[in-house]
Amino acid sequence: MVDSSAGRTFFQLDLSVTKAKLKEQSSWLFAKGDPYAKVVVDNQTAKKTETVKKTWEPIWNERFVVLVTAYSKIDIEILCKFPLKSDVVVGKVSLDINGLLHRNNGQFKNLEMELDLTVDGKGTSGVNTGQLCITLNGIENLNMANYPKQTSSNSNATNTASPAVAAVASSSESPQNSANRQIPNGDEQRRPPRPTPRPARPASVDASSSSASGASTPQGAANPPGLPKRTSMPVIPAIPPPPSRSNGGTPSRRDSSQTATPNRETTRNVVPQQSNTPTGATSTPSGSSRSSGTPSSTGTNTPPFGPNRPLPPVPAGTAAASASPPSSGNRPPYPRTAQANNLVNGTPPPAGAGAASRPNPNEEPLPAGWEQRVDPHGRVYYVDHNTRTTAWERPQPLPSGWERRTDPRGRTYYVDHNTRTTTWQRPTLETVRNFENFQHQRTQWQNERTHFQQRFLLPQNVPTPVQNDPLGPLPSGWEKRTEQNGRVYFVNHMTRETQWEDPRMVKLATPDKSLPPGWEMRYTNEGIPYFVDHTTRTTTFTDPRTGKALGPGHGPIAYERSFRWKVCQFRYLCQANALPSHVKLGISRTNLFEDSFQQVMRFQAHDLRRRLYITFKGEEGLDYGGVAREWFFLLSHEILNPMYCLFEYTNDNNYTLQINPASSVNPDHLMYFRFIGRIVAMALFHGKFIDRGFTLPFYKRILNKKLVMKDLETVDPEFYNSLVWIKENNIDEIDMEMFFCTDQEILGKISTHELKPGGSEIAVTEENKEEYISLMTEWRLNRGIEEQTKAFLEGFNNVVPLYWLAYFDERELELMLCGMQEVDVDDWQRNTVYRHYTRNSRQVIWFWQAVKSFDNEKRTRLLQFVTGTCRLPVGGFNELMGSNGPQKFCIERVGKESWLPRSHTCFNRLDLPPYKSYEQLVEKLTFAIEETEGFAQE
Amino acid sequence: MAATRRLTKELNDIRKSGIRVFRDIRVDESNILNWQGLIVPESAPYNKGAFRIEIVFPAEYPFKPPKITFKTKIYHPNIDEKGQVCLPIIGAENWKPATKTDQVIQALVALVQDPEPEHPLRADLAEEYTKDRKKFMKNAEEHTKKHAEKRPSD
Repeated sequence: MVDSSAGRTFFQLDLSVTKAKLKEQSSWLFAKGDPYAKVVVDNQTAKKTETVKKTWEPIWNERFVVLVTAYSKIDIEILCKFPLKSDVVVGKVSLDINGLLHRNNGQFKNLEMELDLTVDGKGTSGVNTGQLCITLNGIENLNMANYPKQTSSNSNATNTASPAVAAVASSSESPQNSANRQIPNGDEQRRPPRPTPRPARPASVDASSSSASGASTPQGAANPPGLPKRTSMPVIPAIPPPPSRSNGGTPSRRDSSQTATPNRETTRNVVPQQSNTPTGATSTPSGSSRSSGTPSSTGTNTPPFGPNRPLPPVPAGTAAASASPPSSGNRPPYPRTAQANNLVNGTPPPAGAGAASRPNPNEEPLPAGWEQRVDPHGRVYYVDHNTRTTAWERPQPLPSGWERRTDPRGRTYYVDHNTRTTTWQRPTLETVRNFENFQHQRTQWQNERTHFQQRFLLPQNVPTPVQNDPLGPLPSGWEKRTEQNGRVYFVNHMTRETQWEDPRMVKLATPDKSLPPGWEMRYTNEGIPYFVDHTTRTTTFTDPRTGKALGPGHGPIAYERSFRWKVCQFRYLCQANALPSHVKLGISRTNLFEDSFQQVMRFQAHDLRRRLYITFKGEEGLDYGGVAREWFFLLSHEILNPMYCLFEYTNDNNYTLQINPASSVNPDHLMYFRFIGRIVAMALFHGKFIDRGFTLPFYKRILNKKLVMKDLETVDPEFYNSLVWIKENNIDEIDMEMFFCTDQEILGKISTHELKPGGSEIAVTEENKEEYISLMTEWRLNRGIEEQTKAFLEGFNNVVPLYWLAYFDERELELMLCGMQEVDVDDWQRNTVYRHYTRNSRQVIWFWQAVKSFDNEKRTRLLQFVTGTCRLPVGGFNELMGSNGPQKFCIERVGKESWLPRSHTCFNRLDLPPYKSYEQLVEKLTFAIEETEGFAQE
Repeated sequence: MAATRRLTKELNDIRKSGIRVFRDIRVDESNILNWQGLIVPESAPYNKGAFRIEIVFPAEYPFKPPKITFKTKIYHPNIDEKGQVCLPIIGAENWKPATKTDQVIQALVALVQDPEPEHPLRADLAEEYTKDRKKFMKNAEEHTKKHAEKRPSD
């Protein structure tokens, strides 16, 4: 057995692949993988373990017997199975048998090893992606003198054999260090005890976020009694998503790998809790630090929302110095000066000084870690020693069932054990109520869904007059039909088949419908398709696939501008740019948003142009469009989930959505906005609708149109009214003291913005006020949401290039995205009120006559014109809302017959001048609702 | 900054004007968006005391109106137990960016001295005010003596 030509001697090595713990990488974006392990000895004899489904913590416990020499190299790769792609390596490690034998005195006897897995990172030597446990057995008592260490020739292998060891050795305090040493089998525990025994969790939560909860596992009392213990909670939807995903920076990765360590051995080491939890000092939830107002001073974790908010456990002098406020920023929750002064003066809380400080006997005691203080002005404020923040509002104790935790990056988040969700925002009774409302609305969705199902884009029953179709008549035997959602398909009655593609288009294109590489199809301003050859940088009207110009028989320009024509053009663009095969999404209803996020983002954006094939987990059913429709419906509600802080209602009574300027409380918000951009583009691309649309100004942003003052009306009526006042009054006569700068408050912090360079020194006068109004409008509509909008547009543009929408205006875009409902004119008329008209006025009678003569699209546009949205409440016109509550549709007699009708969208009011004839009324009304730009701005 | 400039000027103007019914104005210099002051009514039944109010200006001032709350309890049909007051001049539908705080205070004092029982926040007091003025005056005066702050001596 011992032989100096030993390189050729084979041994039977007994190799058990036990388990692995994988950390999700920012670049993967899979929700859960189906990992298996592959063992390769000297680049041969691959053995594979079974695939373990849907986990990042697979347990295989599979034993292989492989033949090795004393110089063999064993590669173990962990791969993830994917139905649509080739399997992806999510981690690998190489074993250098020679080196291992030397370190173990020539024997492998129940040698347990925990190996660090890596994948090749971009430009770096490798990214740690987790750990793998194996056991080696079966080699005994080799005389290693016969197997000298290998040098140069095999040094590569040696290097790769233990990259992790080398890497970790440098960061000496890392617990991984010890983890990388081989552990002799047996009961002996060489490693330091691990804190916080935790059960292996179902791995839908990735390693880093689970480590977050691990690090801050409630210490006994902090866990509200009667709550389900952490162990019984299968899944926490990772609303505070893993830190590693957000910026992908190395620091966060290191963070997560370190804090992940404690969990590694949970199944084996049952050890009492130790204080050496990595984030121990600060993660202690609402417990001990109440005593002196001096929080644990380690300060390793940055408090959320502002690293520069010192809580003063320091001598008074320095506190005062360091706490001098940034001029205007000290509104709650930043009353820094207040604290400082208090310390300087040593003012004891003046009992009952000023009414403000009268303690309300009914108030509950402060939550643990909070303290009440009084500033020199007698104002009461509250110090939260847990987060080192202060606030004017008395803190509500966390609602029952809630718990405060800290993630490995020191960010505080809150766990709601009632719903098994997490959020970044400190819950108050109000936010909980909001969420309950949201939940309650969920139950009403079914009702809304029926309405949603009835939406359409192009009316189905009205047969399209053939002469209006730009492509001419269909071939005989063919029929054009429209799905409920307006998507057109074609029936071939001869073969009894249906298809999405227009047979006339197919005729024009070659059988292979995609353009040659380097080519792109575009449209002229007149809507005529042309082709760009990027390789030669030339353009032509000739379709490179057919040699003919596309789209014969374009109608007159007026027709081309019609909504129907634009929709057809857009649909054609989508069909021409669709990719073959499917994009499959398997979504769990209970984790709809997060599942969708993970899966949609893991695809390349262009993959999302493949046909959607969506299944809800555990539900049989083929997606012929219905499931996708439902998915979009459900998603469009979930994006409003207040737990994500992404979107908000425009105001209390307007159910359109706008970006929440405070969305950054969710550290990954930009990622989510990119996702929502993709979703919205996918809905357009696949001809599906979303429920709950956005504000018209938001559609204008998508279309890159200039925002005007009128756009503010529905978004912020108070602000709008003030601008109108400034516009209509001579401000030189009043001491307005206004300059070209403005303030904004987000999360209690005030920031100043100059509307133009040096604006804070430029006074607003009668002369320059137009510019001021325009700049203020722009600012007001974009403030605090620039980044989010950019991320949204980026996600959108990757799926549907924004220029495809160039022909639509914002109202048409809303229609495309939300679809139309059948507008019930009788209901409308019943629920309309009049000012300075009666229901019998001539103009009113003409108005209804006109509305009845309109088709549904035109009625919808009239509705948009007056109410600001094409959406009707589920209860119909009776439940129409204005900005101050229920507000019926109102027609008011205003102006002269030469005027155009005007609208006041926040009051659902139409200003209808006293026209002299029915024809005049129809003409003016039609002009007003179709010319969306410019007329309504006075 | 934008609101600060305007409010600094308004505050100076008010202080210079030596207005008698609104005194002891306290403004945290680092936070000019938050004012406190004493309403000192000159007619019965509120002339037996003074009432501390708080004026909170939004960051968007003067595009949005300030909010006023009474910190001292007052027996008044238009001011509720929480100190909220319904003052049309700072209502959303009436607000104009040209409205100055001294006008707002004038309007407030006028409302305090001359209640509007047609738009009450406390219906019980409004009813008493219209039906039994004497009783109302008596109750309000007692309430003032008991709860209101001392009137400034000067």
